[in-house]
Amino acid sequence: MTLVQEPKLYGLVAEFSDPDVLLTAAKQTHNAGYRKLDAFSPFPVHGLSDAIAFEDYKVPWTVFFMGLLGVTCGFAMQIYVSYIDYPLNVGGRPMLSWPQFIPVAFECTILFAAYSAVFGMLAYNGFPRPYQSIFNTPRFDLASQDRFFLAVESEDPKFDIEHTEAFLRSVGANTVSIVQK
Amino acid sequence: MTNQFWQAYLFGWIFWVSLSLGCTGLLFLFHAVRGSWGLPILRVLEAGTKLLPWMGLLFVPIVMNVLMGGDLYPWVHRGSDPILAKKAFWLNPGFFAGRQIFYFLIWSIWATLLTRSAKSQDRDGDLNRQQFRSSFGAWGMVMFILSATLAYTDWVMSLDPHWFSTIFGAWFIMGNSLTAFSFCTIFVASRSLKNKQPWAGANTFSFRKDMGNLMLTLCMIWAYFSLSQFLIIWSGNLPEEITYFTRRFNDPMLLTIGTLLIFCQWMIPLLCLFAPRTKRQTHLLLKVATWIMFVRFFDIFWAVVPFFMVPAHDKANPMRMILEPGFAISCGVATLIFGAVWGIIFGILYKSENALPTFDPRLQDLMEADVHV
Amino acid sequence: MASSNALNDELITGEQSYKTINDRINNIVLNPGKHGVSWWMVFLIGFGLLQVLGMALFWLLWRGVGVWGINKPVMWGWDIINFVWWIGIGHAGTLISAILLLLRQAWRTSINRFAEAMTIFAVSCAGIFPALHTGRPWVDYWLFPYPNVVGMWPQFRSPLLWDVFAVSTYATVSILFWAVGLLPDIASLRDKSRNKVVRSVYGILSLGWTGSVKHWHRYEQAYILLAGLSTPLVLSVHTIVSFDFAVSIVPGWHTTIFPPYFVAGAVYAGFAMVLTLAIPVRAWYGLKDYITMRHIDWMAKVMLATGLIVFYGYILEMFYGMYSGNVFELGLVKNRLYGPYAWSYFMLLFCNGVVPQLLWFPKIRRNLVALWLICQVVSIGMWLERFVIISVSLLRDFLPSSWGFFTPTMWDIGLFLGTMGQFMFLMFGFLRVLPMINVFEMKELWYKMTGHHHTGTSADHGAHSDKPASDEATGHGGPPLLGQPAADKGE
Repeated sequence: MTLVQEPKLYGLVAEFSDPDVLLTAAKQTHNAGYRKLDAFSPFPVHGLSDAIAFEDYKVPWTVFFMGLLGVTCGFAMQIYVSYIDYPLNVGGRPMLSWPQFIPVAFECTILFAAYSAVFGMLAYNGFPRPYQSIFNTPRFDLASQDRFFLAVESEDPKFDIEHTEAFLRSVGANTVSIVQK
Repeated sequence: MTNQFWQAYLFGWIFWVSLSLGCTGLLFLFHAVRGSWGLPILRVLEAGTKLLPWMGLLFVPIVMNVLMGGDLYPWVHRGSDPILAKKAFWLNPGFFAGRQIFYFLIWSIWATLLTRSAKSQDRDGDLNRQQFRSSFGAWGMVMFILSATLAYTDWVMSLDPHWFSTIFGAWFIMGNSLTAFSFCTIFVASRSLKNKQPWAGANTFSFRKDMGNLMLTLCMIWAYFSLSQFLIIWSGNLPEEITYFTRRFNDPMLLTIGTLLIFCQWMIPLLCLFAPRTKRQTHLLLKVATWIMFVRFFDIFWAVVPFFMVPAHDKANPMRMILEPGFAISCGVATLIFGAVWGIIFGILYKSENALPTFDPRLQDLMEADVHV
Repeated sequence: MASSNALNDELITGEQSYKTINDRINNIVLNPGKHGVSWWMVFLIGFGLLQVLGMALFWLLWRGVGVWGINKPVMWGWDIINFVWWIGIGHAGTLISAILLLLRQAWRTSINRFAEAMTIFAVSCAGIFPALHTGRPWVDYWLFPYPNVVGMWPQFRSPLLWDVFAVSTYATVSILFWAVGLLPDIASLRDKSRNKVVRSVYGILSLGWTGSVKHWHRYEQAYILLAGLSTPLVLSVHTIVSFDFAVSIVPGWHTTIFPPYFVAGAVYAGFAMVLTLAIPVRAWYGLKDYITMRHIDWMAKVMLATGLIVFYGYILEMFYGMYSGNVFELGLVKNRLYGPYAWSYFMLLFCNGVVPQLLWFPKIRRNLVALWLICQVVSIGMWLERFVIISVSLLRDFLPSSWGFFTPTMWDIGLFLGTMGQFMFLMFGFLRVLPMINVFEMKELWYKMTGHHHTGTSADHGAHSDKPASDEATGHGGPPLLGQPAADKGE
């Protein structure tokens, strides 16, 4: 294997045909000290993010705060419209008829929270991103069908082409390929 | 004064019969859907249900009050009220008494058949009994929801004979299920914390998760039903209906309780039960369940006792009604006395059982699975 | 194993692996030969009726809402009935995709995509009616609060405005939920397709999805949060629809049980529609291994339960009408039982109260023809329910001097048929371009069903992928129903 220039290298990608093997392999790779890891599967494999010690709570927190913002905006908008800007007597009800502001404020909460859940998830994941180095992996089209991949990125301090490749084979990889950026 | 005695009596009785009816509803539901959540608490539900004939017996004085022309239910003295004349087909003492007998008979018989069948299956393991309970329980649900709706119409709604709200019965049925779940959780969790078997074994993570999630759901449904009823009646603002809320909102104490209920029976349990930690630790879940049971008292208080308010004789506002603090306290005392009676009978009925059902292998599976966790 | 898999058994039958699941569902989209005469038939009927929609819309916009049968006092006629009917149908989709996800009901997996699509298309049909009913649809944007020079604001104390917010939020969130669920499947189509154009279209739509565990992590968080948000949302939507009526003081409308009763009715009608579509589609596309009799049985049971709640609502309406002692409420009871449209009330009781009781019998739940026919009866019944509540209550309200009558015109009927056409057109168009079953969730379900993840070691590498599910299935409740591997005709 010839080494290409160091910065152009994405890393080594191992292919597996079984999710459980991938799960074990990911755990072993992480235990072996590799940190710049990524795993690819056609469906979410439970426990895989724990295996590579990836944890991220940005999405739930974004949703929570956007929900709070939604309920505030909902009430504020209605109070401004019906109480401050243009008070209108409707059937003798109080000007600040808060019980009747609940439904719209609720819908605003859901709307804000749902938008932030979807676009927050997309943004934190960096989508849309049509080109990604991992697509250079041979047979990577199967990552969305029935094959499972584990990538060790070249930026990993422990990364070493020969050693890492041998290691990946030892944890059950069918094939290991060198992937360019 | 004697009327206030009967009012306090009725309130105390209603709180505890509601717990029994909550157990009955869940018992029917469990047999209809065969959810594994019901297995650890099945005997508790059965014992709570078996109290119904006793609670029926304790209702006899109220029925006597109605039959003998007491003042407890205002519709007994119809006077020249045209609306009450139209309601006389339903609200008359004889039919009222007959309905009470019917409710307690049909609930008791239905529940007895289910309980017997489950116990027999514990002994002989006959799988056909399961099939019987499944369909009988489903029909029981249909019967129960209809009859309980009518029962709460009789017991509570007719205390203000002009007032009506179609969701009221369903509101009580859902609230009762919440009381019953929190009671069952308290029962199992407190024994489990003292390491008493077999409850400590039955108190698996899956059990706590089920109880926690069911209480969470029912708190949400409670809030949903309450808000629906409030928003519809408040917006309609019709003279016959709005009295329910004007009474409760114009009295500072009741307004405070009502406002606090939003936080205490909805927001606080919601936040506690959303946290996975609550369901993982028995003592936390026990605290939440106790809290819910405690708040349920105030909720039923808020729903029932204001029907007993009296005119304030306030010249500035002749419509104002007040709730005498002394009377409110005597309602609380009545609840405690009924609670003692309920508790003693429950203890006797529960003792005569084997504490966990054995007919369903899923319970054993869950308990074994939990040991390995 | 059998008891812990009680819910999972019979959810996927036949000889399966990740590959067969992937290929069989994706090939329906990628292989045009999969679409037979039946597809063309329904699609063309839909397309034909869509033209009727066009004509009905044109005539309405040309002449105004007077072409409908609405009048004084029946100002809410077929338009509002159809609005409620369609939006109710949509609710089953959200129930399946969100509530059943939260309840961890594995059986939702094979029907959620399909049901969500149904939601979106049903809401698109529903939205047409109130938008037109305003009379001047070209100024419907006035319904939204936006700063303007005349200082005009919408009226936030009106449930009709709540409806604007509820339905538009519902449509938005349903589309978001559906799109998020589709993302990995679109990536899967992108990777499977061998046609350059198709590949680039799906490639753009997939936004560069790779299936990275980091992406899945956030994806699952967002998905479960969306489910958690959609659950109260779907309840709120039909609750607010019921508020359109209940918040007024019209007898027959002002009823506190309306919110839960409307929600139950919506789910009831929605499941009837899901079954109406699912029963033929699973046969036409050979999907009997994925939408099994277990699914059908569950859906029939949900219909029975919600049908009973709806029936409870009818009993309460009648009982409290009489119990109230209120002269207008009593008048309403009389109007329903003996009024000019009494037949519609008795038809309603027959369709929604009597016929669904057949679902108590397991034999009928598992007889596809009978079940399909019951679903049609329920759909009619739920339409009649809205007719009885909305129009029949308005016929005779307070003052006898202002009583009236209602007769629909051909334009009412035309618009309704037209929206049915739009629904069929969109639904069958969807089957053609997007996977009708959530592929990644089916693979995930298969992964969980095969159960190897408890003991996963490199030793059983690749060994389990062709093991049939019946191992577990037979442990509980006998052999899988219709468990024969369906012949995969397209390959």
